[in-house]
Amino acid sequence: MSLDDWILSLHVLSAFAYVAGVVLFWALIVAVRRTETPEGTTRMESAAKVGNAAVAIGATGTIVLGIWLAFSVGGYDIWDGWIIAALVLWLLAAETGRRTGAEYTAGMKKAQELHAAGQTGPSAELLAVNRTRRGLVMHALSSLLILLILVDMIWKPGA
Amino acid sequence: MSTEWLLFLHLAGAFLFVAGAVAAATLRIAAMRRERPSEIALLMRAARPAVPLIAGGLVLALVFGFLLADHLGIDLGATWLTATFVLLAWAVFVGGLTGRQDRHTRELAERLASEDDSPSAELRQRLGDPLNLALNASLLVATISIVALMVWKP
Repeated sequence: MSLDDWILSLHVLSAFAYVAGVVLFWALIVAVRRTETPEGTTRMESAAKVGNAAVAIGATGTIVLGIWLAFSVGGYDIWDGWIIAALVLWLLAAETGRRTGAEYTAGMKKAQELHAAGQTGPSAELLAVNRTRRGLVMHALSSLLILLILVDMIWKPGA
Repeated sequence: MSTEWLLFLHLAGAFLFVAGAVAAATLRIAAMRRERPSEIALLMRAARPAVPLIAGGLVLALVFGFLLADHLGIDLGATWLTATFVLLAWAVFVGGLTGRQDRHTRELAERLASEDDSPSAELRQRLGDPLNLALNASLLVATISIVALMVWKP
């Protein structure tokens, strides 16, 4: 196997890590929407850390190794339309992912505040933060953008 | 159907299968680190949405994988493909077995949580059952191996 074959393999494996992180966050989002206690909310933290790591490794791996391949593999250039589209989609996915994280971190912080204040029972305010509509929309958008990246990678429009 | 469509549906299935398996494994491990039944039940319940993803992803990956291999004229008897089929059969068999065990563990955690929610030796024993853990670990190894076989095609 050539170096480019290895880079391509790691690029694909990074994509698997990225999608795994996004799906894990879907499971956590579904779970946290039914969670109204501070303890219940903070329980998700360890799984969320794994999701963050998977997304960070996956997103970094796909972009860095993808750019490497754009320069290294013959027949492709970084300014090809489908590669520019992929870069734009990746940036949008990263930004919507960041905003999703900010929305759900607010719920985690609220839970920690309530816990520190000695409030361990159900909280309507916490449930409302956990059911953030904006966070849900942002994560759905992020997932859709990743799906579009996959479409772009396979069909390579304009290549 | 064009090669692009077959590849897209095959890859979409593979992504869902792997992502669902990783999500379920992460939540299972997180549950093991908890003591109270309500905490364990919550994390194990969170893994439930991953089940249809794993099953649906597997079906998509398999069906369109076969069609893609046929379309591209790939020998279905190739060593890397045979190894993949064996690992997939193992994953389906063990996944069904551990899935049932984990469902019983979740149901026990939910029952204990609705009673006094105090730590339970039986629940801890079920979560730490060496056979169940070994089978779950073998599932994760099989999934990672399938991805490696698909990517590197040794």
